[in-house]
Amino acid sequence: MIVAERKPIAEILANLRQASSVAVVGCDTCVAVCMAGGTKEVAVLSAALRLAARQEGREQLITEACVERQCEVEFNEPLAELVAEHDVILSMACGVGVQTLAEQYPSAVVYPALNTKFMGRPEELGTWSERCLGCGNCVLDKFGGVCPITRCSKNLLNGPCGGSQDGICEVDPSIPCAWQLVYDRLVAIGQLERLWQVEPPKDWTTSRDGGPRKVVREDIVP
Amino acid sequence: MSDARDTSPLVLIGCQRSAGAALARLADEGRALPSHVRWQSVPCGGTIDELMILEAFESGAERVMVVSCAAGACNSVVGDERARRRTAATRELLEAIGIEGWRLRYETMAPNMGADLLRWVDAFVAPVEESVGEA
Amino acid sequence: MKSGSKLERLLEQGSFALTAELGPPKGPDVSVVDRKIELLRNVCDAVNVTDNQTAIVRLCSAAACARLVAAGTEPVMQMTARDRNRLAIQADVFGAVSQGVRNLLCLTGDHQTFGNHPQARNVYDLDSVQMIAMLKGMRDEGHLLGGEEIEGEVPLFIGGAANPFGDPFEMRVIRLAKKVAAGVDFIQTQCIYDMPRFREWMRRIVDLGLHEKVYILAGVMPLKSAGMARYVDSSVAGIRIPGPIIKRMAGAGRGKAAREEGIRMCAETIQELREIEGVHGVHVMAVEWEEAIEPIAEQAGLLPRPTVSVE
Repeated sequence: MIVAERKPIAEILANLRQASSVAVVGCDTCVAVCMAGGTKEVAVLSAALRLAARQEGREQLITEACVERQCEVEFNEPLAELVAEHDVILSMACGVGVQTLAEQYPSAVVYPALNTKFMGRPEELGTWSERCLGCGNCVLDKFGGVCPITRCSKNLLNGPCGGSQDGICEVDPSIPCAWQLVYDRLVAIGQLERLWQVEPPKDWTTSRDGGPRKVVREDIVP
Repeated sequence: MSDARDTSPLVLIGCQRSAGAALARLADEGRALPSHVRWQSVPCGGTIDELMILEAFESGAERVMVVSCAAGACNSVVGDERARRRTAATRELLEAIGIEGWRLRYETMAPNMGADLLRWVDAFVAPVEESVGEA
Repeated sequence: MKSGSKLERLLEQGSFALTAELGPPKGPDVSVVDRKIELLRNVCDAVNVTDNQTAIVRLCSAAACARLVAAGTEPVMQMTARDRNRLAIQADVFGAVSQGVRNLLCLTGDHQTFGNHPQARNVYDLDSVQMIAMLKGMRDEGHLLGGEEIEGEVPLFIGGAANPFGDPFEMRVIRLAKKVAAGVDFIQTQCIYDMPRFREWMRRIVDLGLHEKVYILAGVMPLKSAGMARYVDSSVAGIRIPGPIIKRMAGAGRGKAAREEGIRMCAETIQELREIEGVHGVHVMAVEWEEAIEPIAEQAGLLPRPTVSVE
């Protein structure tokens, strides 16, 4: 899932002070699951914004809304009136949702309330960590289901580097060394010989390095 | 020393097993919270969250006190810890929007501490500023 | 001969090689480089020039290496994968060779969070293994990684690093084997304080016959003080210093006495390393202490340096 977290309040407020009305629009998919931008979070942020306006002696209408999935135009269609009636739309969706709203309502001022971080999974309640950065050419079959592109701080394909100690990455003690994980996993499934293969340089064109990407299903497009 | 008694609106959010029970006992003795305090009961400290506290401020409270059972005494085991942490998180949010952190307090108590609760409410005032010279 | 470099010739003829390290300045003042060259030129066979070591910006390795060539001293140019993509690496190889550099050491590179520009984008387009393979292709097949033919020759003696002390241990052996398979000609190891672990690693290397496919230079680093030992142990990625060594340094006192003990210990380590099968030389990393190389080499019985007899 996409994982995001709320921007610092000060940063959000900086964009809103000139607005006389703000529609806070959440999304009930990924950002609700990572407790950053769902209905609940919309309520909390809206209350904070109302209190801030009162503190600063500003008149500001705050309206709360939430859609099922902000990256799909069908779900955003019912927002048309709301968008027309408010100076600023503060989106609590991930970056995709924010941009969808902006594309769908080109004359609306849409600001993000979240920082979109990564594709990852919940490790335990309240903790999410990165697992995939979308390189466009998945090689998880070669590494026992552990992605060295994403989880190795240096995205090595022939790791580990010299800084791996006690299964920890040199960059931060909270980061497990991906190559320790790869090694352990390949040992567990009896595929250690894969590590003897020299992995050639990666073709980064399938990743963001090749430019913004698109996927088209020719059999499905109208 | 100045008599800095604060009678601005105060919302007391407390769990029914600790603060709630204490207030019931106080009532039996003919004692009650001052009139500027609004009492809000919740089943457990664990149900207290940012939204509840912010709504209390929005409704007109100038001070909010959150009370739960003491650590180890919560019937739901982690309710007090949740209340403590969420109060702390809300305090950060309040400070970021210009509301002083001292206006949000967290306390733990047992049902037989009603007198303490009344004292805490009375003592819930702005911190005294350090000043040179006489008070 | 792959490159004809002095280091290559010495190793080919069976001499026990001695390389040292030179850290460039944090600015364009080459007089710093010149001064260090003078300290090192006669007491070792080749000098590594570091490349933005620990992600701290310094005079680039290529420019410093050109200075060494001009002074008649053999450089080993270090290149990290952290700061350059495959285009820049290949261009830098052309540049280095054009200036007379023949020894190139391929490194992954410390992560930029360690250095003075933690906010930089890192590159790591290639890793060190892929870099080695790419350089081999440039030299032996005469083409770029992308396939185009190269105009001219690219004589290179390709180096890599090895860390027998990182985890997991089995991977450390596999990684060296991969570098050999990729085409590395010589290896310099991370500094050795844990001799038993190094011996174990060498045993595995020899078992696999790798010592006959690559020249291995064992890394050593003289300690200046117990304080330095403790700092290195706790703060430098990939290096652990055993308690007894720190204790010995502490017992040596301070200042000059401590430094002399550090030099003595380093020389003893070198002598021990000479006896290990598969070790073809030593690489002495005297960080900001180039003056120590001469006494270390002297005490280890490595002076005067041998001359090249193979043409």
